[in-house]
Amino acid sequence: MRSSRVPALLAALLVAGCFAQLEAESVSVSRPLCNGAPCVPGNSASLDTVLQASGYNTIRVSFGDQPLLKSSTSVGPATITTSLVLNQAQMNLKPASSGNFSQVNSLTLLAAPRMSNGTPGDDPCAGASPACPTLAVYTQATDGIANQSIVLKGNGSDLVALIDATTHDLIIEIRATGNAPSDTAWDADVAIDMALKSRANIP
Amino acid sequence: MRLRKLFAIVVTGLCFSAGAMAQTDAGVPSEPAASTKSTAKSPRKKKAKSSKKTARKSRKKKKGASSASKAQAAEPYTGTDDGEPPQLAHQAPAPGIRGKPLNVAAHATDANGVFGPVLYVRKKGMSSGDYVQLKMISSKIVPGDYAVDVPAALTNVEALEYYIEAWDMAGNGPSRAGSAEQPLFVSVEEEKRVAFPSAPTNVTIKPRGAPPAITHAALTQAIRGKPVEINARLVGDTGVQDAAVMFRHVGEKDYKALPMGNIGADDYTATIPAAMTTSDVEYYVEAFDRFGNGPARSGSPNVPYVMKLTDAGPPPVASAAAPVSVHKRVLDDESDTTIIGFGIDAGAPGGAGLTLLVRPLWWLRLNAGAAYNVGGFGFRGGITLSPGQWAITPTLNLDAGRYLSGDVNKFVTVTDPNAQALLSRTTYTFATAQIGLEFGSQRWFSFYLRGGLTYVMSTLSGTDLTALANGNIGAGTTVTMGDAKFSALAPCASLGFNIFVY
Repeated sequence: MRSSRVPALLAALLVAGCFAQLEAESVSVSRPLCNGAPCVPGNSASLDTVLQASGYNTIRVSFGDQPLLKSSTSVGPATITTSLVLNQAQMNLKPASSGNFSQVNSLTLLAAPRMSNGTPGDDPCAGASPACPTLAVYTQATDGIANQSIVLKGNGSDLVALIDATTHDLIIEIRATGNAPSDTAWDADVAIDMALKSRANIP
Repeated sequence: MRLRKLFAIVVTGLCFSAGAMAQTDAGVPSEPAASTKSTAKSPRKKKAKSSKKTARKSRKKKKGASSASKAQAAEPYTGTDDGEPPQLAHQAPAPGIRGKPLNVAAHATDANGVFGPVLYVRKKGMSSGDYVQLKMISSKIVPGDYAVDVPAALTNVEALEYYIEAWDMAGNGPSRAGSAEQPLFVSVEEEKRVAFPSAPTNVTIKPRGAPPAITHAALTQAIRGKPVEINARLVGDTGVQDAAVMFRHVGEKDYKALPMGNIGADDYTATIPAAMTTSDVEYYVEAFDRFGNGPARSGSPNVPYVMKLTDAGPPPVASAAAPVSVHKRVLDDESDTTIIGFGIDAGAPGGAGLTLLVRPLWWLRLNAGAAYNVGGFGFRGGITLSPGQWAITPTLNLDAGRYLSGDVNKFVTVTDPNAQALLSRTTYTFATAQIGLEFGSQRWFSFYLRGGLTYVMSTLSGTDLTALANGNIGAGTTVTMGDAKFSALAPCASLGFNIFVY
C-alpha cells in the first residue's frame, strides 16, 4: 500500500505548482457613440444634458461568450482565474471639424446596470443599488484642458466581474460636466484600454 | 670604584655572550668528509671546516648522538667531490596543531650524496641559541625526500621558527632553507574540536585495537587520460574502515579522497578517474580500523608517492614487485575516454531530439542539436550531470531551446480562420529540468527514462489576436490588441538513448 502511494505522491508533487498563463498588456476596445453620422447635439450646450437627452450617455461593449472572461472557472483539475484591469479610457472627438472638448470640466465612466432609454434626464446609475462602480475619471482641474481627445485615468477596476454573465455585455455610462463641442452635432469614439491576465493553476 | 664595577659587568656580559655562541655552534651537525679535504679549499670551505671542527668537539661532549651520524662522521669521503653543495627544496608545512607532532619535509639531492638534512627549530621569538636540532629521515620510497616530526612537546606554542641545513657527503655546504638569523615560520593552532551537546555526556571507551597494516606497491608511472587503479592489501586484527586513496595533482595543496572498495579477502582498490589523470599525481593510502585507530598510511601527506603521467607507454608501473591482485571495480574502464557521441530522445511535451554529446568531464555531459515536435523544428542544448558511472545511474538533466516554427493546427481542430492563423505560427522557448535513470554503460551505450518539469514561453502576435478578437466581438465594437505572452510550467517526460563513439 505504501509503495503504491509513493509514485502518486511524487506525481502530485511534480504537478503541484504547474500552471499556464496568458498575459496581454494592452487590449483596447473601442466603440462610437453614434452608429453612422454624428448624432450628439453640440452648440456648446450642457454636455451632460445633451448626452442624457439623446440617450447617448450609455454605450454597450459586447465581449461575446469568451471562456476566459469569467472570474473563476474550473476545467478538469485546473482552476482558471482571469482579470481584465482597466488601464485608462479615451474619448476621441470626430470628425475633427466638430470643435473640441476644451469646455468639458469633468468626465466619468461608470459601469451601469442598464442602457439609457433615451428619455431626457434618464440616468441608469441615478439611485442604482448597489452604486455604479466608477471605472475612469477625467478632471480638467488636475488633468489639464482637453482638445479633441479626453484621457480618463482608470482606477484599476477588474471588468470581468462587471461583465454580465448572461449577455456578456458591459454597459458603460458617461457622466460629464461642462459644455459640449461647438458644432451642431458631433460624435466620439469611446475606447477603454485593458490588461488581460488569465491563469490556470493545478490543482 | 664605580668604573671597576662597570668593567666587571661588561666582562661578565661578554663571557655570557661567548658562552651562548659556543652553545649555538655546538648544534651544528658533523660534516663527515671535512677532515679529508685538502688545505687548498676556498675560504668559504675553510670557514665551514673551522666551524665543523668546533662542532665535532662539542659533539664529543654530547651523549645520545646517533650512531649512524657518528659512523658517517668517522668515515672519510672517498668519492669524487663535485665541489657543489646539495640542492635543497622545501615547502612550508601547513599550520601545526598544538600538542601534536608537526611534520616538516624537504627534498635534497647531490651527486656526492646528501648528509643530513638537519632541521633547527625553536619557539618563535627566542634567541638564536635556542634552536633544537632534529635530523631529518630520508624516505625509503622517494629518493631525496626527507622528513622529521617536530615532537609534540615542542608544539605547545603559538608559532615555531625553523631552518634547514644540508651538506653533501664531501663536506660541501651547507645549503639552507631559511637561516638562523632569518628563520622560516610556521604557526601552531589549537586543535579544532567539535562541540557536543552538554548533556547527556556519553563516554566512549575506545576498545583496544590497532590500525591495519598496509601493503602497497606504489605506482610511479601511468598513462595520461587513462583511469589508474590503485590496489593495496589492508590487514588488521580489528578490521578495516575508511580506506582511501588521498591524491592530488603535483602543485596542488589539498588532497582529494577516493574511497577504496574491498574486492575480496584483504584486497582493496580504488580507481582515479581518467578525467583526473591530466598531470602528475601525488598520492598516499590510508586506513583506520573499525575502532577508529589510525590512520595507517602508505606514503604520507608530506611525503606522498609521485606518479608520473606519460602520454603513451606501458600500463601503470608499480615501484615494488609485489602486485596485489587486481579486480575490476568500475563497469568498463576501456571506454572511459569516449567523450563524443549522439543522443536520440522523444517525450512529451518536448517532442523529439537528435543531439551531439560531448563529455568534457566524467560527470558532465553537454548536448546540443535539433528538436522536432511534429508542429515544427527547433534547436536545443543542455547539460547532464551524473554522479557515477554505474549500470544504473541517476542523472540530472537541464535543457533549453526554441522552436522556430510550429503549426498547432495539427493537434487541434478549429474552424475559425483567425484562430487557425494564430495557431499556425506557434513558436516558443522552453527550459526543462529532469531527473532520470540511465541503464547501461555511460561510456558506450545507455538507455534512459526521465521526468521533470518544463517551462514554456511564447509570444502571440498582436495582429493575429486582434483579428481573432474582432471576429468574435459584438458589432460596432473594435478591438486592438498588442502582443500577448503565454507561459506555462508543466510536467514532462522523455526517454531515449546515448551512444558514445569516440
